Amino acid sequence: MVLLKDKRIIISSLILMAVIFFAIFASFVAPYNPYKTNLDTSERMQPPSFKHIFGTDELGRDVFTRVIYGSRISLSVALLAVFLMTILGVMLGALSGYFGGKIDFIIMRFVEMFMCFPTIFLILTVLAFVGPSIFNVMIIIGLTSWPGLARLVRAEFLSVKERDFVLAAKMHGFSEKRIIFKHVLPNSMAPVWVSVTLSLGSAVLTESALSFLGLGVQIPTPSWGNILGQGRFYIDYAWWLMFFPGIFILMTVLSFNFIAEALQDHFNPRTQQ
Amino acid sequence: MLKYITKRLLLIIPVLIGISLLSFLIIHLSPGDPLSLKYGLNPEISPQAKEYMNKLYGLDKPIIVQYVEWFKRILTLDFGTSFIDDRNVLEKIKERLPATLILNILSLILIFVIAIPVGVVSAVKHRTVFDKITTFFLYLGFSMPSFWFALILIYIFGFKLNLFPISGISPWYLEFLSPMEKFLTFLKHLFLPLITLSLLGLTGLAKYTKSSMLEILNQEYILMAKAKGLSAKRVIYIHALKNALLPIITIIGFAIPGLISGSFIIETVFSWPGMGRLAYEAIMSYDYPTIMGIGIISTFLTLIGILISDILYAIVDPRIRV
Repeated sequence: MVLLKDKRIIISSLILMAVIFFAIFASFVAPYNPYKTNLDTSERMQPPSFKHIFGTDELGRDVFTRVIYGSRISLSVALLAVFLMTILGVMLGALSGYFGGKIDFIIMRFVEMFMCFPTIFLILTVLAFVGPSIFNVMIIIGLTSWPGLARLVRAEFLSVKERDFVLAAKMHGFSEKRIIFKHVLPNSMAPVWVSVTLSLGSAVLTESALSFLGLGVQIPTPSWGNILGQGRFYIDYAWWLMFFPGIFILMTVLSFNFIAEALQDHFNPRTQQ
Repeated sequence: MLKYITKRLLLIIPVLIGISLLSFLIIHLSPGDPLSLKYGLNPEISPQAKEYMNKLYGLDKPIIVQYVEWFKRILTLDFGTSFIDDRNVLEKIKERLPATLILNILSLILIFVIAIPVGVVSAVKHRTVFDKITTFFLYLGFSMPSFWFALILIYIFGFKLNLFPISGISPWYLEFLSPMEKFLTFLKHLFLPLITLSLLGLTGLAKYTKSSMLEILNQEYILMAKAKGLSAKRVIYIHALKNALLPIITIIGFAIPGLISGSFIIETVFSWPGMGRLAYEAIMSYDYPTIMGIGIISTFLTLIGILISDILYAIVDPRIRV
């Protein structure tokens, strides 16, 4: 595989594998219990040390442990949200691009509607009214992030469906379902993979922003965003509370974005020269 | 040209109706009707009073009729009064709009001034050390959680170096300052939010400029211009740049929702008294007339932005008009 020789992919995958490992084996990796509070003054608000490498928070909980457990929540929210986004985006984009006409008109108006609206505002409003929970956050990020992908898939379908092999498939009398799924879709997937990888990064960012603002994952359940959001109140004398979860968010999103760029170069050598 | 503009104008109508319908439904189908949100905490409200209120707000009519009446009102920018302080929603928004506009317009200017040269140079010097370093920083900025970056700036410049104020738009002692000092404190307050917001938009635009420029540099007419013996500078800055900047016009319009989303978080972190912070306060207190008002106003702003950039694009690029 050419892709495995790309330095960006190697480094980013190693970082992501570490985070995924932390997320899956949180209970083995984490040295303490993420929920157990210790109000003893010698255990509260302690700066990083050998005993607590990321320090402790206002309730005496180990920050490293909470960040490790937080990766479980943050990653699963991103994965499921992007899964939902991909299904919606590919389906609606394919319908729109392949059939055109009225279906296309209606779907594209929906896409425009979403693109004209500040997404975070829409997400926060809906969350405030349906109540913030991990499940709602996943669903809402998924439901609001598909339009960009749908536009990409539509554009790809518009060009692929004119190619000769699709005409050949039509002349064979294959069903439209077969043509869409077996012929056009597999040849339109390159930009989808790039967009899905980018979306994983932006879903991590959205989730952490929501939890930071207090309308995402609710405390005491740890997520990178809400650890940071709580730490923000103690910023002047306990920098470690907000610093470490931020590093985890940054590294994860950066890795997804680098992989997306490497994939983009791989699929579209023109931008590479 | 006129035909093109009319077509674009007509396409706005379904979007506007869709957005208004969406925001109307979200609030009406969610648990708790507007009245119980407003008066639900008051146990002394009698059934008669409730019925009177229902009539007053038209809540006894079928939902379609309610929507049509509500839609007629928002066309005249009448969003009703806030649940929190019973003030006119439009007045509240007007009061907060200038702070948001100043922040966003200045950051838009900053973004353009920095991002386009960076993108162009990094495309021209593709694959050099300069390009690799800028690309890395662009990715870093692109992947940065804005609120975290804001907190880091607050920690360094606010707490450690004590250089800039970390929240608000003016200090409590404002009235004792001379006009010059007022302006300076304003700039100081503006600094950190402006830097954070600009970083958000800058990376996207620089990456976009770079890829647009790279694509143009590979076109045959650029090869043709080089073959004609034109100087490299002339080819890059006259022939290529002009064409590479064309698509950037179209993203100005679409950048508006992103900027509003960005200023939403940043205004909250820095307690900047703008529309984003008003929206956050309104959402946190279920003040639904204000929420809808802000939603509709920001959609209006975006649609106008997109329309202007579409028209500009059609003026500068005749290929679009057909």
